[in-house]
Amino acid sequence: MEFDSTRPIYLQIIDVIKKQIIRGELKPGDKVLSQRDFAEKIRVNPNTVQRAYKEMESMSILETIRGQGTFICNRPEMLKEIKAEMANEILTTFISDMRSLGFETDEIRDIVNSSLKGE
Amino acid sequence: MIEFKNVTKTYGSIKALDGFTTKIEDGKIVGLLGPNGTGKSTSLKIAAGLSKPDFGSVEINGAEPSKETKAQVAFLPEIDHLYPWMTIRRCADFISAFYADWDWDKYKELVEFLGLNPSTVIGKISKGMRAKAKLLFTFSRNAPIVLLDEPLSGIDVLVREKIIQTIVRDYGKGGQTIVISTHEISEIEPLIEYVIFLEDGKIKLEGNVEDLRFKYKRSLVDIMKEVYGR
Amino acid sequence: MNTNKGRMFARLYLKDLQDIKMESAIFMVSIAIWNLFLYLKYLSNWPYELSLGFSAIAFGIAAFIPFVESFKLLWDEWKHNTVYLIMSLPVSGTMVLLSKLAVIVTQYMALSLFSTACFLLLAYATPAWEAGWSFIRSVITDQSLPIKFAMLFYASSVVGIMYTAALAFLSSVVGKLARKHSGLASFGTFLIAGYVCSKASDLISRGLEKLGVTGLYYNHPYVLRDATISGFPTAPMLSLLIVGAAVFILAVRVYESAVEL
Repeated sequence: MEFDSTRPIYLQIIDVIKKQIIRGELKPGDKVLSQRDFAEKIRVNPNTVQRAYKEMESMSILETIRGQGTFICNRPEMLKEIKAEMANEILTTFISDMRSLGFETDEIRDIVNSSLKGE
Repeated sequence: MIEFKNVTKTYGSIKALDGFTTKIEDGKIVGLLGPNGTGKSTSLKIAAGLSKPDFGSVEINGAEPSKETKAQVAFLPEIDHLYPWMTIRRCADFISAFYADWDWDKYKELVEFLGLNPSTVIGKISKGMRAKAKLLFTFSRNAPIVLLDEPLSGIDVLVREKIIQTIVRDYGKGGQTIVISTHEISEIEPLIEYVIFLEDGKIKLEGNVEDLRFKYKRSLVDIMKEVYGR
Repeated sequence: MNTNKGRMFARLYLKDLQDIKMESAIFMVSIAIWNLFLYLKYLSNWPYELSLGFSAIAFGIAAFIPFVESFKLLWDEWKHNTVYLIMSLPVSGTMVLLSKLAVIVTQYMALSLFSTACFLLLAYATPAWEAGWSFIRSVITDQSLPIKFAMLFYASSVVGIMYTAALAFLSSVVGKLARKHSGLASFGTFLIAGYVCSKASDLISRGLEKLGVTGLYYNHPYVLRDATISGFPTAPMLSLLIVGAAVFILAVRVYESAVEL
């Protein structure tokens, strides 16, 4: 796994898992690697992985069942939530970037509309 | 915990360490970073009891380096330090006699994981294989403190990955304190939790890696470039 | 894994023994061939005294090889960087150097006993055996003297080897303190320490004699007939042992507190 080392790695791990859920590579109820195995696989400090797992548990993306392992939460609304959240993140960055280039709200809207039409 | 208290060490006219002071907490993977010749190796050698400070002191769990602390420390020097005429197995027999924390099950598992053959003679294998052999003997122990001096230098990418994997794997099992000195940061960046940047034997910057990344919004490699102004 | 000092010592000892076994084996084979050659020479009409004389050269070599080895054992640790491994081990400097001393003594005993066996075999195969015995028997009154004398001589030679090994250890570790020219520093240390030690052991030996420890090997050095061994150990041997031990302890101190990597 390649990391963008300008951001905390635990956040990037969370993003990777989220993306896998959105793409359907991980489905609700699927078992994920243990923290140790995952850390070994991606060659990251196990404490960083632990932090990422903990965050995801508090976000109700992962749940750990004692003696069985860690699973993707079986919540039907989760996919929608994650999608919305990630879309929000992308938009926030996008908008602030556009504003830093000096675009006004209407201009941004127009640009988005025209490039959507051109797709 | 490893505590460096105002450690100064000179070799001839070169100051390898100059008032080096830091605390390395238990259970962390710590990176000791900086260009060559900034005192990284010297500090590890002092902690391992192979060298002595001119001024100041080093304490390992409150005790100065001695026979007793050496039993707690697994030191991997940058240099090839194994008997070239020994086979890997014979070397394991030799080293195992000295450490109560030697673990034969771990040894067997690691031999397989690293793809080593116990009957090969150490002097006759490639540099990459020797690096793996050194790692094998370091991690066949369950030493609470592991000091790795440039474990990746001069080693090809595939072996590097295996070595990093071995470190993660072992750390995940026991939660030891692992100190890694290196001048090649990018590969071990995801591995280290706490970083100490050294320059001319002094601390230039130290801190929790994720915090530093958050603060500087850039990678350790770039932080290092900024720190050293080059 | 259980660890104990005996096991650690054994590992260190066996490791160095393993390291020098090649040289020792080569020496033994050469000595055997040499003696065989001398025997064949005797058969082709060499005087047996000449053959035996040449055979005795092996005694000198049997002492010289462990002497060289006592330098090499330490120097090799630096040469192969294995000193990093040795110094990381949770053992005292005493144990490290004592195991090497034990290896040197082992090698000396193996080589000297082998040379002696070859020498005696050669003597036995020639008229020297008979001639020698009858001569010795004719001049001495105490028939057990040759054995006693041989044992005393042998014990003294072992002490001598230990003493030179201690000197070699001291000069090696002192040499390693020098950043440059450590070979030269070792050599210088060896000469100076050797000189000081021989003076010291002379002094101690004389002192011991005054205290009543026997000095010479036998009572009447010029009258073999009445010779008896007047005590064990002798003063020179004891003084060499004392000085050797002091040098050894000094070498350990230097190794433990001054040698750095």
